[in-house]
Formats: sequence, C-alpha cells, structure tokens
Amino acid sequence: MAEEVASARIARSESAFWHLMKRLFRNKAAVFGLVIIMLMFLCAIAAPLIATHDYAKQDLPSMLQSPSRAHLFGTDEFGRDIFSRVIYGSRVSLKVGFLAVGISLFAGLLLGSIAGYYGRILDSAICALVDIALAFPMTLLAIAIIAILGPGLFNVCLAIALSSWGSFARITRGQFLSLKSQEFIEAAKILGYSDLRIILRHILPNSLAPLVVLTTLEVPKAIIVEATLSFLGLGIQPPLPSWGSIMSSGRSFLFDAPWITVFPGLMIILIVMGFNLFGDALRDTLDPRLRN
Amino acid sequence: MLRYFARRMTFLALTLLGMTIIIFSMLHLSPGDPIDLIVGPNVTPEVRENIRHQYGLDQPLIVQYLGFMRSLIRGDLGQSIIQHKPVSELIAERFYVTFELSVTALIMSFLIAIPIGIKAALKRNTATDYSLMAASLIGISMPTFWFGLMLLYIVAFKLRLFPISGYGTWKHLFLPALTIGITDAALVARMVRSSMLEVIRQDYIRTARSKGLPERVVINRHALRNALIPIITLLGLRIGWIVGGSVVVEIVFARPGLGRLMVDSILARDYPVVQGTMVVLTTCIILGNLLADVLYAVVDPRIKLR
Repeated sequence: MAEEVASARIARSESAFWHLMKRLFRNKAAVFGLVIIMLMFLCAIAAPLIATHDYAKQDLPSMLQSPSRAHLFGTDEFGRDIFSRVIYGSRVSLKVGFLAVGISLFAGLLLGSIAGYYGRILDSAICALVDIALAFPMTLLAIAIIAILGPGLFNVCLAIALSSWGSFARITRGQFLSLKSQEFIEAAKILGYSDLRIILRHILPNSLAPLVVLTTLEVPKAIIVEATLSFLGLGIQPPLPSWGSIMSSGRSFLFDAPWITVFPGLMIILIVMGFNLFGDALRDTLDPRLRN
Repeated sequence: MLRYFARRMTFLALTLLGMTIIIFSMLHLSPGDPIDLIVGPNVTPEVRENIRHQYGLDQPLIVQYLGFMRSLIRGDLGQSIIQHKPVSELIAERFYVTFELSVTALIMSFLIAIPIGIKAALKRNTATDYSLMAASLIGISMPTFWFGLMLLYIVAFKLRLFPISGYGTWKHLFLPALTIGITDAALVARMVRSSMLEVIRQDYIRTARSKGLPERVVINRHALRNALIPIITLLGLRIGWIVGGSVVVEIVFARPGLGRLMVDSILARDYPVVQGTMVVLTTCIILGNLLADVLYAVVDPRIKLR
C-alpha cells in the first residue's frame, strides 16, 4: 500500500517534470539559450581538442597578427594564438560562474532558511544584513572585497559570492515564510520531526523552482563581474587565460590589434545571452506568476 | 510620511555603518602586517614599534575603529602612503570627474530607455517589440568596459569623431557617458516596458478607453504618468550600478576620476586611499538612494498612507 502510494507519487511528479520540460522545449528562446550554454561547456571540456595552438606558447616573430587561416582570431603581443586562449578562457569563466554562484547559493540558503524558519530577531538581523548587502552594486562591492583578499581565481569567486548571496537569502526566506504556515508543515511538526528534517525534506524541495531560476540568472552576472575584475587587473592573473585578462592586455594594443579585445568580448556576450535566454524562459515556465 | 522617512533614515544609517566596518577591516583583514605597507620590510624592530604606536595600530581593534569613525566624521580620511598627501585632497581633485560622468550617464540612460520601453509596451508582441527587446538583451549581456573599448575604437579612433582619452570638454565626456548610458538603458528599458504593461492592464485604463477618450490621451495622460512612478524608484536603484560602471569606464577612457584613483591604489596597496574613495563612493550611492526615495514620496501620494 505504502509502496503503491510512493510509486504513484513518483509517477505523478515525473509526469509533471516532463510536462514542464515539454513546455520549456517548445520555447525557441530557451532551446537557443540551452544550445549556447552546451556549446560553451563543450568548448571548456574539449579545449585541448579545439584549440589550434598551445595557449601559453609565445611566438614573437608572429606577434600582433590580424586574424588569418593560421590564427583564426589573430595573435597578441607575444604572438600567442587568441583563438586558443579564448577557447581555454571558457574554462575560467564557467568555473568562476558556477563556483561563485554555488557559494552564494549555499550561503543564501543557509541564512534565508534560518531567517524564514525561526523568524523573530534572527529574521530581523538577517534581513537587515541582506538589505545592506543588496544596497551596493555588485562590481563595487566585489572590488572592495578583492582589495582585502587579493586577486586570484578562488578569491574572485569568494568576492562575487559575498556580493551576491543577498538575493538567494531573500528568495529562500520568502519561500519559507509562505510554506511554513501550510498544513503539511504543521503536520510534520505534530509528527515530531526535527527542524532540520522539516527544512531539508519538506520545505526546501518545495522552494526549488525560484532558486533554480535565480541561479540561472546569477551565473551570467558572475561571469561579467569576473571579466570586469580581471580587466581591471584585480581578478584572474596571467598566465591563466581569462576573457577579462586577455582584454586587459588587449587594451594597450586596441588601435593596432583590436581583435585581441573583440573576440573575448563576443564570447562573453554569447555565453551571458545564453544564460539570460534560458533563465528567462525557465522563469516563465516554472513560475508563471512572474510572467509579464 | 514621517514614519516612512524615519525607517528609511535608520536603514541608511545602518548601511553606512556596515560599509564603514567593511572598509575599516580592509587594512586589518588583508594578509600581512599593516606596518609593512607603511614602511619597507628592512627597518629595525624599534622603528616598526614606534610607527605602530604613532599610527595607533597597537590599540585594540574597537578603539581603532572608533578612532577611524571619529576622523571620518571630521572629514579626515588619513594620508596616502604612496603620494604623501591627505586622502581628502586627492579625492577632492577627482570627485567632480566621476560625479559629472555618473550624472550624465544616468540622464542618458533614462532618455534612451523610457521611449524605447514605452514603444515596446505599446507595440507588444509585434516585430518592433521583439527587435527592441532583442537589442536590449544584447545590451544586458555586454560587459560595460568592452562596449566602451568598442566605441573607443570605432567612434574615436576610426571615425575620429571624439577625442580618444582625457578630460575637459563635453567631447571628452560624451563617449564614456554613452557607454554607461546605453548598457544601463538596456536593462531600464525592459523595466519601463513591464511597468507600462502593468499599467495598461489596470481598470482605469479600460474605463478611459470605454468612455471614448482618444488613444493618445489614454496613453499620455493616464498610462504614462502612472507608469513613470515606479521608474523614479528605479532611478535610485540604478545609481549604484552607474557609479560602479563609472569606476570601470574611467579606466577605459583614461579619465582622472575616483575609479582610476581607487583601482591604482588597490594595485599599489595604498589602503588609506582605497578606504577614502570607498567611503565617498558609497556615501554618494546612499545619498542618491535617499534622494530617489524623497522624490518617490513626493510624486506618489499613496506613499503617505504607509
């Protein structure tokens, strides 16, 4: 009997999931966005196969060459192949994007759950903290934090996470507040379940939809902030090729070799657009209330 | 009304307090002994202790923080380690450069975004709407500094319409302001569009239409005015983003503003200057938000009820 109920529940949730998927994939923008994201992942994973040159190999005789058959995106001031550097750069962007948003999601979930579930003074304190964190622009806050931590890949992730956890906390808290008073949570409490079990097994799974949407829309922001920090010389340090740091050195040669700057920027537009298209479509599908 | 402002002011005071704590921590949380930043590593321990005492770095952190706040309130931001000048003097020299850029960019952004957003909303689900929103999507996806570099290359270098870098005339201001204005307008246009769509759905618009008012009057007199109210709040929310953008765009166009000063000082580990610029920038953002709140309350009579 219990098994039957369980399997019926799984079947129903699966069909609901497939129903959502079907609706999502009927949306052309979503499919287009997803294709871009998958191509970027392919780029990052298969970078050694796609790259035509060693991304760090200097070749001074062929420095600052314009795009050609030998160097698809041209070469930089050390004769390094921009195409190969841009391909490898996708690794840094995706790594930072997901790691930073992952940390941010974790912190936001933790603080948002505490605020939403326990309420009272903890809630007021966390809410005030969130308001303060969100009152400042991400770039400026990230620069301030990098000034403390110093540059480097992990510090960049930490700086981005510290300046973007607020939105995750706010959404989580809102979900908790609306779910907390529902009957199935009351029932779980009466059954004597521990707070942790109620939070992890009953409330969180029901608040996933808006968090998934927010994650998809925060990753591209993180990618842009990383590029900006690296462009300012405060982010990823050479020789690791990040799109931002390639453009940072390209700036000095902008008028002689614009290709150094053009191509990494186009890649950022592409990947950010992919995430934005997919995220917007996901929001429309998962949370029709937000559609306008 | 008064309670609303009391609440806003408390929040703003808290925000400023939080930010000063982060900014104060800069010197102390950064790796290494702060003394190393003031003097070189090869001085005798006695000299180090003297300097530690002279700068008050031997006091407990809380005492140091209170001292930091006390001098902040007096407008004393300390001394630059590298340039040996008062930080407030360095900032005063550059403040206007950033201020001028941010204000111009904000105005440009709204001048571009409001007509586009309204047009898109009125032509909802037509080719016009789709192409405007596609353009806005590309704008949102662009890093601001990259767009600045592209404008610099095409408009200033190839077409020679504007000077490549520097500061002084409106010609020096135009491209940097346009860079921030367009990238910001991309996002604002979307918000204007949804605000306008929200208003068009309201009952009073249906009433206006059903009593036979011409469409032009319905849009201009009824829809537009109400759609613009939330946009004032937006104005406040965008100030922070615009100031952040100015910091980055100053680097691209080599404008001698606060952003340049801050980034150069971070790279040179000149912490008092970093702290000073941060304090000034965040205070400006907070004051900007306050200004937008006041405007909002003045424009929307409903706010008085809260």
